[in-house]
Amino acid sequence: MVICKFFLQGNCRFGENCKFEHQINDGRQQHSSVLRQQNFNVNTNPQTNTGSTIDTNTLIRAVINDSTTAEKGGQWLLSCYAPFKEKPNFPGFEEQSFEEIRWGYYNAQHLGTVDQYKQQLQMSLQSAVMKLRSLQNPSPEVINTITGIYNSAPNASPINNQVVSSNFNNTPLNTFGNNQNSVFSNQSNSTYGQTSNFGTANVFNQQQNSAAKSIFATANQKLFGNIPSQQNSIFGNNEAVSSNTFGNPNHFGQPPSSFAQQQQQAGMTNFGTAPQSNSFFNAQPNGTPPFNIQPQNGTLPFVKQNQSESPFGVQPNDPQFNNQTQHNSPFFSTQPNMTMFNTQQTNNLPFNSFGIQQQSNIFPQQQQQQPNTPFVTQENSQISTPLGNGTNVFVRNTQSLDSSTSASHSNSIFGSGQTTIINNDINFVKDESIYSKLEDLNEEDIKSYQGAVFEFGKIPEKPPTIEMCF
Amino acid sequence: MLIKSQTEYKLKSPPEDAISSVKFGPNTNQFLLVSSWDGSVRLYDVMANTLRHKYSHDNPVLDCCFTDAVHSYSGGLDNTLKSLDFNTTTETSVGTHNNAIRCVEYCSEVNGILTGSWDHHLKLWDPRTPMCSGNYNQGDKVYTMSVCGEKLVVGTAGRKILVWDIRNMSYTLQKRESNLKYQTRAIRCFPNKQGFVLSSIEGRVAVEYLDTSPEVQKKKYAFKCHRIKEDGLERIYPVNAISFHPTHNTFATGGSDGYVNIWDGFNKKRLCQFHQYHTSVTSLSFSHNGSVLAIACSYFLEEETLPNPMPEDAIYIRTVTDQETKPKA
Repeated sequence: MVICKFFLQGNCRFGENCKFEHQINDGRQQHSSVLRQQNFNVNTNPQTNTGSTIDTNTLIRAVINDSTTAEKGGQWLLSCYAPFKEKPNFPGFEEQSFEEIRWGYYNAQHLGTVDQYKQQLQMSLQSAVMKLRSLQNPSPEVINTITGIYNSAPNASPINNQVVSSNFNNTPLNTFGNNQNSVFSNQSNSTYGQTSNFGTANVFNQQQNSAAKSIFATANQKLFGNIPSQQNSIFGNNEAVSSNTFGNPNHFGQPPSSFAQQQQQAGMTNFGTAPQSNSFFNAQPNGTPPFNIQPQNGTLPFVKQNQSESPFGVQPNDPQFNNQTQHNSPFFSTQPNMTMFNTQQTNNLPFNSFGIQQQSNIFPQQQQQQPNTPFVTQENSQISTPLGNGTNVFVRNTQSLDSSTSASHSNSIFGSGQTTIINNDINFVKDESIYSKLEDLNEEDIKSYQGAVFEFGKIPEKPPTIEMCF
Repeated sequence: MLIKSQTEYKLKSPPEDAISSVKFGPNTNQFLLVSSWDGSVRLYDVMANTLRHKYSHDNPVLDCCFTDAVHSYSGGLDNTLKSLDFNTTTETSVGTHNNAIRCVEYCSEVNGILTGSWDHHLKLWDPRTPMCSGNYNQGDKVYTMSVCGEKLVVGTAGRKILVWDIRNMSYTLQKRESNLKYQTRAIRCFPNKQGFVLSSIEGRVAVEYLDTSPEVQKKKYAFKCHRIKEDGLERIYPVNAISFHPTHNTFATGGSDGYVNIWDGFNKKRLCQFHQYHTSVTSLSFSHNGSVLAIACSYFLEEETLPNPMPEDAIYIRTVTDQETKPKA
């Protein structure tokens, strides 16, 4: 049953009549904003987040203990490390097996580069020791990673998982700033396994409550800088949500197919193959917003071009879509037939807000309604556009009619899916090319635009002129 | 005869470099297949203590297995899976991976050979043709594998474990994480197919169950082993090898500390510990009827400074008694 997002915020206008479930979700604070929790990944006392009584100190002590015994006991250093059971690995540890190291030696002997290899190996070992030592004296950053790991969703319970090569490694950003220049650069980057993936194997099965990993927090801020304090911004809304979607770049990288198929294709893991996922992760260490990668890549949902993919099936030149800078296009541009979202736990995914879950609903509905205007009308000045005052679907349904984001509840045209979140503060760039010229529009069109309401069947196919909008 | 009265003896003409894997033949106490870092795969007649066959790869061999008494398969750092027919002594190159082949296992139920590689993939081979009949991505470097019945348990880097049904490889049955905190070193399945044993580099072994129901999962546990306390400091050694007694469901573990322990997994007890061997134990194999245990000892890179002189590589054949391997009721 879907938990009501507004209830969690402490503010659901439907109350008992609400379509969604009003329930405290295992340990989450009822009264603090869900959004704030998830945006708030640093310096958070784990107690408030998870409701558990484990003290951060206990966690830290466990880690210190592990690392000290490991170092003293002469333990093999080039190994991954998972401080807590059924939680993700600690990021940044290089993993090599004995055989691989030995092979490196043999290879080096064969090539005559033994000394060089030894040096590299020494360096790897040194860095491993440094990491181990840093665990023994954890810095605040390390402590945060530790608590982050502890608080992330459990991912080790054996799941009879017929779905997908989903994310194995959902560790947060690499606090060690791990590099790729390990000895074993030819071997597929083991660090891949450790750099963030933000989703867990249970993406589809469980409530995702991983603390927002910093990259998304920062990325979101950068991208949605024009939505400064908006907790309701689509991506800021639910970090876990975005982490879900990013958690499975391979889904985007492939034609939507059943998951079983994906698995079978044996080539598509999150890291190994989908090229977009590769670069996606490569971008991370620099902290660059992942969305800025590969704008041409039609498969990454967030960066898709607006053309013809908008769920509203509207003319590509729709000003609203084009006006927005690229990062807003995600609202409209997911591949409509992504089965992924249908199965995903409904956590107010931004895409769901556009009814992608019931995407079969979207298109038929749109034909009946004014497709482009909903997104226009949020600005007050826009309300006088063809859709007219207050008849805007969204306006009707919004909970807060201020000019900030209006979130409409389930009665939106987007079906019974999630809340619709429209960002009012869309950065309108007055790009003239997307508007028609007056001469291009025929009389009927002009009349429609100038009228108060769009009549069904007479919705213009060409965009209005720029004068009509502003 | 002299050989039979000794509990333990060393095999003659051992490999010239570290031993990566020893495997007894199916239905036999007599034949042992040994793969080594000297690139050779050797077939020994342990009863007569002679070397019967030997063939080579271009690079060190990491694993080998029998498919039947007459055929063996092996793979290693040359990325190639090779097969030898003992009767005709013909060697065939069956196929390759993109990176080293780390494990080679045979599944009799499906009559297929499985190879796991550092290229993240698992390949299924048909011995009759022989050719590759499937290629499956495991998500990370494959470190160890074990077949039990129709199921396959794969341990990869990053502490991940995948369970597959070999009859239907279109999806993984289970994806889970190791119960242990560090790198997985070896996995072996219980002969009764209820679960598997997993060892890590941190001197710890976990017993896990395949049944995912919570009541069964509660029974899983882990224990420390192969650690040596010297002057108040506990030295931690990786547990390199696990081998199950075919009938008793008890298992032997061998570590880099040079010890071999025999454990009763269900009663959580150690049954027996052998004397310390001169160097790390890298591989173990129980014979078909459980009366003989092959113990491979080679120095395996624990310290940065190599010991001098280098310990020799040896395979010990030890006759084990029921007392050592049978669970105490």
